[in-house]
Amino acid sequence: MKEDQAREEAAIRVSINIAVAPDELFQIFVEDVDLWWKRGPAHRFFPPWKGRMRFEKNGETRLVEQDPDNPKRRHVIGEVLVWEPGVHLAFEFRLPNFSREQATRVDVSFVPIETGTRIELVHTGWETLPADHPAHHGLAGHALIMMKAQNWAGNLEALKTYATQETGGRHE
Amino acid sequence: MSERQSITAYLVASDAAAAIDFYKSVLGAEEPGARITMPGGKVGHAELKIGNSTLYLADEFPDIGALSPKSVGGCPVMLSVMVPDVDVVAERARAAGARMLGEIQDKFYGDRTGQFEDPFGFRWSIATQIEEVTPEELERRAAEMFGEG
Repeated sequence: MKEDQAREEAAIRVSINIAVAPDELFQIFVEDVDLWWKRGPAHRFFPPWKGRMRFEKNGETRLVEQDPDNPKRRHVIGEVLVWEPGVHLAFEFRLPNFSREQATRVDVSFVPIETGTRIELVHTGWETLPADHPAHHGLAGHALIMMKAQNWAGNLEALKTYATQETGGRHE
Repeated sequence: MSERQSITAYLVASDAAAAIDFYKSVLGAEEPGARITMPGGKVGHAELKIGNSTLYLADEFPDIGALSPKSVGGCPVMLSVMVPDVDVVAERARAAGARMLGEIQDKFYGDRTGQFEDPFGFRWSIATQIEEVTPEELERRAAEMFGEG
């Protein structure tokens, strides 16, 4: 119970409405992840912050970033934990500076709304890292949550722009 | 890098989610961007688009000094917004719980305008341009009104 409360008190929650139907948006999310996921040090995982991202299906499904010029240079962001097309996607989320036993979790829900889909993203587990972990950037509490949430907000807005352009904003 | 307006008001509301609903229904606001929800359900950050302008909005967070008009006892800033039909917007505002501040009036400078305080303590001036007034005509009307010239 104490762990649940701590997880809830540190949860990052970001939502956005996108004028694309849930099934199609899920497909865009997973298949075009490299195209919509923002580039740069706040979003990608190793320099020069523009490796190719994909959901790699090799036994287990995992989200990876790979250097297109050197395939051995790659970072496994995490294993996929839930894969329910059009409904729910969840995956572990690790930064390169995490130790083997450290992991956070991202849950993405695709909620049908009149105008398409509301993406509800919840990122949990930051509280399990030591307070001085470099992933916290010296921040705690409100400031830490806002920093992580702003990163996701930017990323989901990039997804919205990409998905809307790809589909012409249609939803059925 | 997207083009952002130079000045953006950041409203701290006592119930940001309800305030967002109010601005959507009364002022036709849209919420194109992502909304950040803090633990406990408070709005950490939201962005509203009204006409060609963007407005930021969040709930109160006293720990970081973010207090709403309800907590500080008023709001010294008035937000001015152009709307398609000031009378329709005023009626919607009144019906949604706003307090009208005086009557809606035709002004000598060509706007029909009124003011209200919304349920969250923010004051709004709403206006619709009803005629194009030339600088010469504006000067003449001002002189007539204020007894000069």
